[in-house]
Amino acid sequence: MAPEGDLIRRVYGAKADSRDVLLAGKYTPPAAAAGFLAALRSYAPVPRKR
Amino acid sequence: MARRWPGVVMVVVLAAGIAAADGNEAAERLRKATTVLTAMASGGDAVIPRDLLAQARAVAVFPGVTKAAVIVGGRHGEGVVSARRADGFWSAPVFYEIGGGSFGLQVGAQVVDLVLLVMSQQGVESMLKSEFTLGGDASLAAGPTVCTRAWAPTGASRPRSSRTRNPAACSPASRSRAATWRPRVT
Repeated sequence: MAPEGDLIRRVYGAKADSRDVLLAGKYTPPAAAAGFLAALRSYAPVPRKR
Repeated sequence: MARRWPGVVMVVVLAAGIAAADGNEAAERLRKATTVLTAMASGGDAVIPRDLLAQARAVAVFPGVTKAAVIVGGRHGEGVVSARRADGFWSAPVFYEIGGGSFGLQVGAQVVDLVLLVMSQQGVESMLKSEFTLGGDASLAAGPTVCTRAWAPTGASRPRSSRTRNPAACSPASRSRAATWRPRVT
């Protein structure tokens, strides 16, 4: 299992890598990801702060 | 000078075509992943327990992973991964591919939708490596059925789980065949 660096860079920019996108939050999701993220939020919502 | 124009125009058109293809590939993969995730996590017969999904640190969705074998087997699939950020929100998705091979007494082919839940931050870190091996970087432990398996990364305390959606893969008739697939995936 491996990240697809070429596609990641084409979607997010030449300097993008999987760590920056996944953990650093440096990149805005593409419009096409709206449905996927909405599904994730729906089934795995943000934990409520106590 | 005038002779250069056709070449320049062709390069620009070609580059635009590649960019559009990349966008379409990403959009299509995200659309398929959304369909799979919705099918596996929604409704009363959800394959993925909501509480497990809610605790996941990362979710990987691979629609239509192809597995085929005649003695020597292989599998390939392309998917997307999103991880929980420190603020609890889901990250922008990253594109991953999954593949690998196996050797043994095996014949058959199937296409499955695969969802992997990464349950620990160590698992997320392992996944960020250029090549992540399930069964190597993550040890696999068989779950109660072929279509419900769980495993934990080496040295990690939290399990990593996978769910597949393929009615045939869950039927008793296909279990022995499915069981011939080695859990090691690179």
